[in-house]
Amino acid sequence: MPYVEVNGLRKKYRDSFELRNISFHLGKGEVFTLMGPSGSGKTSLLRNICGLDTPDAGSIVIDGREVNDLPTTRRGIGLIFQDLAIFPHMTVFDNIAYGLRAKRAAESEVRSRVMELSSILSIEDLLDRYPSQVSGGQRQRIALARSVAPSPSLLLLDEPLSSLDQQLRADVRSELKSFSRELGLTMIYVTHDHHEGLYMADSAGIIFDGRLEKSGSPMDIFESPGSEKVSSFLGYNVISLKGRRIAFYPTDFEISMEKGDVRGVVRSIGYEGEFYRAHVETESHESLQLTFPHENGTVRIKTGQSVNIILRRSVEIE
Amino acid sequence: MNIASRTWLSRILATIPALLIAVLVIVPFAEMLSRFLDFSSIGALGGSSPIALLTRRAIENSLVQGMLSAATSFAVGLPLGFFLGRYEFRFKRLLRSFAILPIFLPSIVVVTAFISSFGPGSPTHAIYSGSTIFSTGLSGIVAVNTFFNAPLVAMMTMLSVERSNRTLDEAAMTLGASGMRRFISVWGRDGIIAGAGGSLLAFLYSFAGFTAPLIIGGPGYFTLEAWIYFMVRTLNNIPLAAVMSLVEAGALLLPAVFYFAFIGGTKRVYGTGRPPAEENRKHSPFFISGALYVAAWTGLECYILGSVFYSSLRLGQSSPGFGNFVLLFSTRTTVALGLPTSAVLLNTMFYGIMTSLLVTLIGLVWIYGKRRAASRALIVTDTVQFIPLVISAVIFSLSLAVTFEYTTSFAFDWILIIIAQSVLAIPIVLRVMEAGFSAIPPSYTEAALTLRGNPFFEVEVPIARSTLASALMFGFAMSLGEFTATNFLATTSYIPLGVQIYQLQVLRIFGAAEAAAAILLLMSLASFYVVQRAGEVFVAVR
Repeated sequence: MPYVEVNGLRKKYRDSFELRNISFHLGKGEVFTLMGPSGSGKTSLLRNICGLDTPDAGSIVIDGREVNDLPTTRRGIGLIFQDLAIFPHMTVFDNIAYGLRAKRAAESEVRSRVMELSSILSIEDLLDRYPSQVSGGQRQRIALARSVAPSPSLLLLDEPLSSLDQQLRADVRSELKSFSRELGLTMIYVTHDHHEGLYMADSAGIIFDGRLEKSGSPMDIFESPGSEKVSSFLGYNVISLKGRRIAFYPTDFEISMEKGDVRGVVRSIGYEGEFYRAHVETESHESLQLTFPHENGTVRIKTGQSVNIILRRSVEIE
Repeated sequence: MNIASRTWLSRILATIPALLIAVLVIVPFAEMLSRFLDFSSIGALGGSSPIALLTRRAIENSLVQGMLSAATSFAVGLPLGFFLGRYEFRFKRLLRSFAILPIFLPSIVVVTAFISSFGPGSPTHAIYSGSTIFSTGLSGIVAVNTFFNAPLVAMMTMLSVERSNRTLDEAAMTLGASGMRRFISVWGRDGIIAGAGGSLLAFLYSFAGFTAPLIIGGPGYFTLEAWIYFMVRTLNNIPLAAVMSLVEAGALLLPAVFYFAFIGGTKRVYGTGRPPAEENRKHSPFFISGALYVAAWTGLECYILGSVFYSSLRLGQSSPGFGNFVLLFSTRTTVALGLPTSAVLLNTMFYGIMTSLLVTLIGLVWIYGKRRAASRALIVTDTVQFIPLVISAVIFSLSLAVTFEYTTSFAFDWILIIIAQSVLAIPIVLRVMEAGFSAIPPSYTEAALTLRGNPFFEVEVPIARSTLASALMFGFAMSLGEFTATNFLATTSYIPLGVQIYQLQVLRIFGAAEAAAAILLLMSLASFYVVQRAGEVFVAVR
């Protein structure tokens, strides 16, 4: 039986944006990642789940109990905001203890829980500092500790890593995953980065214009994107081939000088470190991105050159 | 309480200031009009009787004083604002605070200061007898209005220039724009718009000017505001006063609407650029001339404010010392006013504390609701808060007195005074609070909610605590400075220091009036200092 169920959720906003009939579920201790481009409705969906916005229709059930009519304070849901929202006037300790004290936990319990979490997250040396005195990665951990401290039944994370640089982002992402597994947290994780989303997920969904376009296991989603929108979001090239719409990944091709599935002209090519990236315009004026390693030998292709592309693997889409 | 109930409660709380304005300003104004408005009295305005002549003159005076004061305030305040907003230098903060100080001073003190500075017997008069043009007649009134309102223009210009988008300025520079073009199209543009907005406010305040026309103008220079006061208090012609109050409200409504349309409708170039510009071209002719101009302004301020202390201590006279202060606290003054000065000081402090507490409490309730109730209707109710700008202080206090004073005992006048001072402080104090609280990201509030905490008392109020301190001190300073309504409502036992100064001047006990003005000025300076300090320790998120 699912631990969290969102059924037919609808919400119309003033700016005419709406969440349209959204349904998904996840089991206890699982991580569901919600992916989609900016403005697709990811944050709005989280706000409805935790009660900061009220749905027009549909139900939100957590552990068998419908929570639609419960105020945010009584839903027992933790939320990590995109800007982290760490209280600037409180020390790190007080920030982490905030939710426990709000629940009127005994001070000894507060102290032991704060010490336990800060030890797991390696921030025990920061407890007396103010948020302005810690680094970006440390702030991330503080926000995580604060949200987890009251033992929420569900933890929502709204693009929590968006403010970090790439390297730190990868480190914190990995820590977050092991931390969530260690504590058995049930989480809904929102991101616009499909690599991050797939990495974190037990199950995932992709949302466009307020509609959940695709959901399933990370592998299902990536291997069978299904629609053009989802394919493009996941980084696929989408083209028409022999009357069908197909998607192929930028790495799944070979360049041939003789005959191929698709013919096009190289519009630009550049070195990105791990690989080369080329932009190719097909004869039917579709734009493709191709990436290939140095040793591939195909780096001999030049801007303006005509090439034949052989697709190694592709999927048919709607 | 469920979500829907909470939303409704928040909406109700967010409309409380507007409801108070409706109950305490609009309803009494309507009540006053319904009781006394007699359009047949309009006929009296067309003849050649002294009342008709003076009424027409009052309308003309309001327009002339309003326009002249707005123009001079703009001309004097704009360069101040540009210099203080654009350049960085040592002690800028101190200089900036001192430059805008006159806005916070009680009008009665400033008028007294102008008389001490430029009137007969002043040090300036001893050097140049023509200096009395700044302490009498139209020129004196315009000078006082300019001294008050030029800092307002400067402050609005300065804040706008400070917020101008540095990146756009740099972009214009890389595109080859000259200094003048960048001034017109980027950083100076917003300053001019804000300064023009400030001069519109200067027009409003000067059109409805009261203290200067009353004390240094005389009947020939009365504005509508002073003339309405005179008609009620001296001529007891309330029907004609009611007609004139309608005329004045109508005349103020037009520029007030224009002000909001102008400020709301102009596109600004503030943006998301880097922090304010730091122009360190200290050897440029613009910097040097600006610095000299600001030095001249602060020198003038020092002279005018210093003259209050100078005259209160009888410096330059045959017997310098504390004689004026002894006179102020003497039995002679007590007998003349019917109240000892110590009681007047207590009244002043009491009104100041009560007004600041009441208006800050109203502001807190409003902010609480406003941050939680997303509703377009709040734009309307927030606009209602500005009605005290349109229904001026004399009309407001006349309406308040008509509605409440005559139905209750005079023993409750103190309550009406606190209500009047609080209502008049609402537009300003609530803006101060809004500015502080709006700097707190909504995510902080929501984070506290998801953690089952109390977002308002545990997060918002502690973060904005210095905003609250500023609001309290603004309320206190505005109570000290409010003269028009308080003078209208206060009966003998309830007068504060500002009214005492006026009554001492009417009774021609000038020495005691000067000493009282010095005390009120000291109190205002102290409260201004605390407001500034509170602003400096502001810990809200920036």
